[in-house]
Amino acid sequence: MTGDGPHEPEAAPLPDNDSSMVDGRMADLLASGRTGSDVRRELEQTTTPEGEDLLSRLNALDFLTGIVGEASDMPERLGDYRITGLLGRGGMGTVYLAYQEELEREVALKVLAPAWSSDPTMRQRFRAEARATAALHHRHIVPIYDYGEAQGRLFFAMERVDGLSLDKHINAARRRNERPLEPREAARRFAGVADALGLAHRRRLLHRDVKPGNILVATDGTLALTDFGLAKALDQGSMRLTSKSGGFLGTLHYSSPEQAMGGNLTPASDLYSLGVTMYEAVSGELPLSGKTTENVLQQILYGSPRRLRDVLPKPPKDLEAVIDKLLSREPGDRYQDGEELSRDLARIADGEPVHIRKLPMVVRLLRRVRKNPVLAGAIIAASVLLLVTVLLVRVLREEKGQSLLSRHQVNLVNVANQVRAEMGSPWGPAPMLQCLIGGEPVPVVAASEGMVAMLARLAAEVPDDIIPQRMLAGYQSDPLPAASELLARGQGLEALALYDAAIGSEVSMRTFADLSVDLRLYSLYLGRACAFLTASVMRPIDARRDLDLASFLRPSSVFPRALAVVLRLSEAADVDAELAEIERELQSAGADRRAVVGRLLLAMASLRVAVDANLMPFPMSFGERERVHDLGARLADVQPNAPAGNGAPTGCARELHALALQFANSLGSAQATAPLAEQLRARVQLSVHPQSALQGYFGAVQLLERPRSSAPLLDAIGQQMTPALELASWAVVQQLAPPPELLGRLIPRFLRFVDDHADLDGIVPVAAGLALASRSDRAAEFARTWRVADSDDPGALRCRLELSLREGNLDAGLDDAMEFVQRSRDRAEAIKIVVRTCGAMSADAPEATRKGIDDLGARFEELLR
Amino acid sequence: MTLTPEVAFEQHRERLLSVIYLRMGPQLRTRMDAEDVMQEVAIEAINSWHTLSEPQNAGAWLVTLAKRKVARILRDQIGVAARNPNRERQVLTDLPIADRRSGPVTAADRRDRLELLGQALERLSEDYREVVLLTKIEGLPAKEVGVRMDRSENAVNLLLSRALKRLAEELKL
Repeated sequence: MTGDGPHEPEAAPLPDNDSSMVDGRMADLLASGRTGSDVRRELEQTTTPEGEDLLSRLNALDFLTGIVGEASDMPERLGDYRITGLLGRGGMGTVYLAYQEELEREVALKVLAPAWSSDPTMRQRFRAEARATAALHHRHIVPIYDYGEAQGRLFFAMERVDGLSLDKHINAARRRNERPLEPREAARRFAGVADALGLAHRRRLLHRDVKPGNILVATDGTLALTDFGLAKALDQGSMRLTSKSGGFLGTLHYSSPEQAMGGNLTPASDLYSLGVTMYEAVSGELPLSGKTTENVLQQILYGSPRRLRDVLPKPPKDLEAVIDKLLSREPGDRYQDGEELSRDLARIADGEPVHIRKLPMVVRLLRRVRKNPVLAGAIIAASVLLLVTVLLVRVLREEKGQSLLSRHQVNLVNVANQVRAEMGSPWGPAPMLQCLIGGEPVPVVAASEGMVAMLARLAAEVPDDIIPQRMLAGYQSDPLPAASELLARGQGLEALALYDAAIGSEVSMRTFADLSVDLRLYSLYLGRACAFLTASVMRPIDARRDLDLASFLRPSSVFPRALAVVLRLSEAADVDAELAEIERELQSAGADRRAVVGRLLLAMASLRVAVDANLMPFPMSFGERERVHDLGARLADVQPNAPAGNGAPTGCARELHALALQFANSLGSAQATAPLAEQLRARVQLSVHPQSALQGYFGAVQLLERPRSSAPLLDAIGQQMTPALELASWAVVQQLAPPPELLGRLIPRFLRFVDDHADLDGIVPVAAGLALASRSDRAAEFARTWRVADSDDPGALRCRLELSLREGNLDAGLDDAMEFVQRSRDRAEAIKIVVRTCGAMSADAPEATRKGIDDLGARFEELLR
Repeated sequence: MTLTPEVAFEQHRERLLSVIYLRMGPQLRTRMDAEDVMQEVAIEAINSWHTLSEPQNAGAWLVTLAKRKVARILRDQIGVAARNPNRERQVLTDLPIADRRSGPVTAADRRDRLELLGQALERLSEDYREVVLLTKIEGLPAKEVGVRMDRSENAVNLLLSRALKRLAEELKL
């Protein structure tokens, strides 16, 4: 790819003189600055190779200017306006700084993006919103001066506010570790914005995109709302703004719950967004924090905002109350109009008291509960008891005869809440747990017989009501036995498809009163979380979301919380600190819970071969693995000195491994190889998620079948493999231990890969292993890096032992062997490995060192007796 | 309103991050995060803000600061410390990181594009890379680039024109 010196002819499909003609034309365009959309439009009509060449260079130029945040297609002028600079870019278009010559004033010119200039709906919206905004005369709304169209582009001119948008100020303050605005000052400034929103709402116009980026801070500190009404049009174009997984980016943090759910918006929705903006402006923090779109969405829907006092020391009580009210989940609990809010803010600024209607105690209590679903169990139980009592009292008082039906309803709610607060499993996560941690039976609280009896009684009470029947079924039996069966066999991907479908249909059936669905959903979310955590899927982030949802539906259940511990550990920056934290948390936990978490940790560390375990591997250093293992052993109360065997394939992986071994052994006889390769491919395609490391089997087949090829590796859906998956392929090759001469042919490609991706997680052990097996002279280098990177890993020592013996350095070999044995968990096994290694090395060693190696082996063999 | 260093920094943030990231080169990138270098440049900018004579030159001034900083780090760091492969842990996530305020062109997206550009530039010849960085990333006028690269203004545009062609090929545009 390199070597194209600037003065050498280009390796392009065009003959030299054509290419240099294009070079010249492009250079002219660059010199004259004519690289904007007009030239582009011209070129898009042509189909000549020269035109296409020129267009691709303009594309490259656009790419560059986009990166540094410049507009590449800045028009020189539009109508009366001379464009002098760029102010910002939004989803709908660009805002330029412009000079209106006739009136001799500076304006901000908002121009509809060329991509939408010919879209009639967008044009209509742009015009309608400009008109509506123009009708809003308010000191805190940036006024519109003019509207027009020139050179096929729609634009409107606004007052040029000399200053930056509020988000830039917040950013700058955050960098200085300061609060952006003093609270009373903020109240004073936002009072104007609230009033402006009030005016808009009276004119039946919703802003829909209130956020710091849409509030300008003038030089005197006045805030002015801008980008009015464009958010609606922005939604129209949101197909372009959504991420691949369907989440939407950008302003999610400022969206009200109803907006996030795509519900109907009211003025209270704008006020919610203003609340978030105010919260950020006084504290520099956001009320909801979340790194991923799903996380934030989940928080908006199910969580509750952090209180202002948690992020800002001693906020004015009144301001906190106002913001609390604005951030209410229910639109009806918020301020209903901007003027009212504005008045309260003005009072706060003047230090006068504000009288806010406090929410009823029960509502506030419920919100607290929602905020922390893990601790909610007890509170829910207590409040349910209260609620049930209240209901019962009312039922008793109002209907002397006690209609059977209402008593039944009350009982139903009562039982549902008991189910929710119960620690054990409704139909038993035992199969799920066993799928993740191996064949041994695990003590899990079984479904309570009392609960079953109660549900059965309830079902018999009113035979026509299907809800108790379904609750009983959901409590007693696996909602999706076919999926559990697949899970048990380690076929997470296939199970996943079933769970997805079942969850989809359950959710669509859910009405608020239908308690039976919650229980089934709990089990389905839990099952799906397990599927996400299997080796064949490996999507821990999705698993976390499902676990959170399961915990939400049954706050006291043991299993989702135990699994969440594993995930927490896998994400922790400091594994030891997290382990200590987990141990502290579980000190007073029941034996069941300790055992479940302990077994999961053992499986996670996988120092111990869990025969049928199917839990995905987590990236951890050997030392971390050991410490996780030790805590797991303590919690589960098993012997800590289990064998140090590591990474034995399990579940679906085990089948793939067995197939791959057959395939590797058949190499050399094309007749036997081809069908086995086909079988292996089909299996991966069927059972492995495209991003799971088990795709490595797919890559390994390609490598071993065509060792000399340098074609990129493809995954099972025909995409080029990511470096992580390519590494997984090489790791499989290493496990399969192909004959040395085959390995010799593969190794140059592998070394190139290692050099290109030296920083890939987990590459070093694979590099060391393969280099050693293929007798590459770089083995020593990799072994050294491995030792430096993960000094606890006995694997690195074993690798060095082999190297020392190969070099005939017997003294070093002895040291390495001793250290290897000392570091290993299972000393006897380690000694056997040393003896075996000596035996193998001795066979290949030159005459001079053979005896020494044999002696070394013999000395260790002695130790075994 | 007088221009403060923080505000100037915010205005030129994207350009500065690009300059730092691309000037760091692949070796340094594996060891440190461009954002961390940005922080240091910001501190330096605040400390030496009084040396800036004209506010309208703030952008160019900051770019120079950033370039110098990266050059110093490169000189001090490369070839000294042994690389610890465990330091860099890939973030394995395919969920988008929600960007809080940049609208549709999200920071995550920009980072991806920056990374793409960084890789593509590595495959260009020295002259091509330099002309792209100086003109389009650091924002120098062609005339000044000519002085630095010892070429005429016309030659700079011609060179850039060819560099763009190669870049378009690398980026498959």
